[in-house]
Amino acid sequence: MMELERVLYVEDDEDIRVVAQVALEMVGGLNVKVCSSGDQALAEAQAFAPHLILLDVMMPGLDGPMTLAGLRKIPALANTPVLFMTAKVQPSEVAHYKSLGAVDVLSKPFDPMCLADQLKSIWSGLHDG
Amino acid sequence: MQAPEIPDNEAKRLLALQRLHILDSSAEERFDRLTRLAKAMFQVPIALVSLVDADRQWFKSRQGLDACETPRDISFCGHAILHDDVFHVSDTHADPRFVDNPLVVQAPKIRMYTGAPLRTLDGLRIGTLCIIDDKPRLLDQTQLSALRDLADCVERELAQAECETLMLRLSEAESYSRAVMDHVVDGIMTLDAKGVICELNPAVTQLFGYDRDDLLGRRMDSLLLAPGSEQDCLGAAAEFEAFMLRADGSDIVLRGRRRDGHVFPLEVGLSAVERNAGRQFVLVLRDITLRHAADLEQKKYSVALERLHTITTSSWPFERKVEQLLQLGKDVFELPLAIVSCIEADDYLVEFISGPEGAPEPGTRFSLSGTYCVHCLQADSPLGFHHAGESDISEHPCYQNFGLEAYIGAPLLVDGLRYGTLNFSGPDARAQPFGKIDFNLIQLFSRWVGNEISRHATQLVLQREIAHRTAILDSANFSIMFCDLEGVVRSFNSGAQHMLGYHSKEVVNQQLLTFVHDEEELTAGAVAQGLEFAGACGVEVLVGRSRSGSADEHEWTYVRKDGSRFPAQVSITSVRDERGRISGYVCIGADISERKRIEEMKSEFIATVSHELRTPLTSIAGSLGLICGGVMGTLPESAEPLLHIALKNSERLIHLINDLLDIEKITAGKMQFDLRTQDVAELVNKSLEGIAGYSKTYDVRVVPGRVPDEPPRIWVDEQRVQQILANYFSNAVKFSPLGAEVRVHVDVLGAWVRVSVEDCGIGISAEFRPYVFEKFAQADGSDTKKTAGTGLGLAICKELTEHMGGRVGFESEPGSGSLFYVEFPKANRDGVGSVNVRQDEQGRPFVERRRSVLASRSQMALDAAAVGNGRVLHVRDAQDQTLHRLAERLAVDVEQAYSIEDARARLDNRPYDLVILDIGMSDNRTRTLLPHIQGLRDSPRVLVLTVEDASEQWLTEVDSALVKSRISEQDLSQSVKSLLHLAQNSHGEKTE
Repeated sequence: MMELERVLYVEDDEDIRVVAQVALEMVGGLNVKVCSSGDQALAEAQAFAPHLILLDVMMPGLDGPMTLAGLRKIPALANTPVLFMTAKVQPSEVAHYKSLGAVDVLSKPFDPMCLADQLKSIWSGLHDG
Repeated sequence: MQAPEIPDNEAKRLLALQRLHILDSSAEERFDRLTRLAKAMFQVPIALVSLVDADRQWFKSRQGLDACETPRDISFCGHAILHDDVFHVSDTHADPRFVDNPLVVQAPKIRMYTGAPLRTLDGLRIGTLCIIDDKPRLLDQTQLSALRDLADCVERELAQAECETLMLRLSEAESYSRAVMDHVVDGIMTLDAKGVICELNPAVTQLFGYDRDDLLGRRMDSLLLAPGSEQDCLGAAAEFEAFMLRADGSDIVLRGRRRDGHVFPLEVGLSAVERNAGRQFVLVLRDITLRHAADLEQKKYSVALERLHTITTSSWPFERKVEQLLQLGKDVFELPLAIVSCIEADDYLVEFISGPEGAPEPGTRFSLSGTYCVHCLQADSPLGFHHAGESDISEHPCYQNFGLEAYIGAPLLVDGLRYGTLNFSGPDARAQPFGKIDFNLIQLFSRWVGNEISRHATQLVLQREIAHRTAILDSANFSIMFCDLEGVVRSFNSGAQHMLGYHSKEVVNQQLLTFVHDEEELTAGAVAQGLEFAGACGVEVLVGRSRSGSADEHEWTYVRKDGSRFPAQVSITSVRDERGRISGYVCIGADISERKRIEEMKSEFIATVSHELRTPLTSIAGSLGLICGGVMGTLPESAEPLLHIALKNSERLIHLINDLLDIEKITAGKMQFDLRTQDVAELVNKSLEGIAGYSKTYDVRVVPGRVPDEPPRIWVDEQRVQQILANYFSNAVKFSPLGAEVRVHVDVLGAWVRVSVEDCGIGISAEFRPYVFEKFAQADGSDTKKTAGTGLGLAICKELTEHMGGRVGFESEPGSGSLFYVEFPKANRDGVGSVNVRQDEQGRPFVERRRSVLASRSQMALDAAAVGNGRVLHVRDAQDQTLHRLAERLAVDVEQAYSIEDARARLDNRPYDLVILDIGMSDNRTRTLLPHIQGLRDSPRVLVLTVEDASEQWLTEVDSALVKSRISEQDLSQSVKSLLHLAQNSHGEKTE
């Protein structure tokens, strides 16, 4: 099984971006590319060729679901697993996001010490299944 | 032999013979003398007086013959009586009629027979005088004439006997009629043609008060009054005769005048007789005073009833009716003063009065003891006297002060309770005492006035209520519609017209309740309620839930006439008739678009703020987490505790925001519940797993406790229940001492499943109890250090539970732990039945929304208020307005139960302070409630109202027993007040 290495992370809030980046890179040892908007992600994702994409739901401009839709139009990324990250959610909302094509939904605020492990276990879950 | 023929007039002949009373009588010299003479005169051996009876001839007198009778068919006399002439047979041997006759062949061997018929005064031949010889012999004409002469003498003797019999019988008849005349109660007198009294019997002297001699020879008309006049006598003799002739043979009523001047009604029977002295009249006189009086009474009664009927059926206002009744009473009783009084304690208040000028005004007060009415109230029945001054109450203050000689009065009951009196009086004595009919009438009058007062009072209450209701109905802020069972709108208030843009004329009796609703929304509602949406079903969607008894509150979209829409908070209540059957629905709608807008702004605000708060918090908590996690390298030792504090508090802030968002979602109805049947035991086990790590940090063990053998299932959202239990667990853990145990029990309580979490922590103080499930409530401010929390946990638990049809509660003793529980209706495979509808024993749905008593503060406050005002159950078999009015006055909550079963169900279902048992005339059932009442926890006080005095054993066991007709509304209100006071004080003791 391929190890999870490259994660594309899209988040508009700069502070959270920094925290998440530290959590994933320093704690989790992952290679993270951070984008501050959906547009940036669409422009730069293909070049990074991520294993996994983590999208904030509420963002100015392109929001999470719109970004997901845009990414799916890029052939190279059509099958890349996408996770949403959003405030504490209802089960029905989780179902809604999954129906859009997300493999899972992570809740904010996240525990930075566990975030990378969460991604890794979802990743291995995807490949085991 | 030829037997004698029977004459044509045989019957008459026999009757004449019998009338003589002579057959079989003893011999008499006056006849024997004549037979001896005949025997000697004609030189014959036998001479007889023979009387021919139906089948024999009997000899009244006989000479020369021993037999006293022989059969008629062989008799010679039988032949002799067929003709008037003397019957002469000179030689029987030469006569074929007799030659073989036994009396010829044998002794006395008759050869010659000669018989002269004996005739009565009417000429009937009843026998013969006959002579008989045993030798043939021819009598010449002279001899035959001589025999005829002798026979005439016998006839004369017979006539004499007849006359004597008549005389005897006449004297018997006369002494009989004399006895009748002397002793008969009717007066009998004979008048001559001029009206002068010729004869009279003793009864006449009694009737008129004169001696016999005063009356004889006096003119009859001096004893009479002419009809229609007090003074004139019957008039001149000529008129009298004409009158008598006219009246002959019939009964007439005149007025007689006694010697003392007293006039009395006299019935006269009259017949004319012709006598030697000329035409006479026989009068039979009868004093009909009594009958006459009875007739008059009867007439008075029926006239009074007719007038009463006119009054009662009139459409006059109350005051006019009473006034007319007083007038009627004055006429009937012939008294000038009429009063309806209202009596309170010793106060006699003139409420209505009808009397001469100078009579007291309505509103005047007297002391009750100074009126005659005090006696009629004491007697509890009508009372009257016609001449007070001559009676033993001439010392009475009422007589002394007002000089009222005549009085008749009756107690006045209103709704069975003493109200006052109806009385009539006057300064002049009445000639006659009051009769039974008078008392009947006044009782009737007072009963009617009582009913009328009750009706009037009720009407006033109703009018006031209607005014209140109209005011409420017309309030512009609510749309209020009333619809019948079919859903047809029957009333549409001005608020509704204003709100919806329809005129009531377009709606009332024209539209179904659904007409202002959005059809799609109703369809969705029908689906949600499991109804098929078709036709009138729309109404069912709206009203169905209100039928259980409590109001159904729901939000619906209303569509105005112009098509615009707005959200409305609609409350639908079923309206029940006096028998408890639903008769329609009241539907009250409030336009909540403004509220909605504000709510939306609020929740938008909260969502925005939360989100805006959460974003920076995410980075704060994240950064701190990374630093504390040592990602950035080792920290100075002194910085570490401070950073941990910062981290912990940022996490707490996140919790708070999450809880806030939760509760906002639930209350806004945005929280979705995924309801399924769940096994309780499984739910509990999963929760236990979830709490394990947390409890370890507090060194508290959470362990399973009681579980039923077959764990029940409930209809819930699993995640929410986990959330609730996690909350209970974490609370229990937080408040438990180190090393303690927290137990989780599952119990089945009737239709409910209870999961309870029991700790042995610090417990909950009495002051805090009402607030346990309130938002931001935490028991002890100084204790937060140890027991950190947001203060929203239990409030969320309560909201979640109630949204899933359950209820929360707790039991706690300060210092010895608490038990928090959550209850859900027991589910079957298909879900859950409506547990809020309880069936009572009679199978009638008995509905009450079940609430945990301690679940909310507002409920507690409500209960306290209700006890403060008193809650009364009135048990009786019909509607009664008295207590209804009383309820208003005392501000007590009076419920009515119209049957024992209804009462029982109510008593079982809620606490009462006082039960009033209203016992009817022949009511043996109501008493059976008493043991039931006594068996209740906090059994209420019991007041019994009876119709009549009763000293039954069971009445000694109640707090108070009153006879309705002896107490006033004030008395009753006082009793109710004091019993309520007692009840509330004793409740107080029990709870302290």
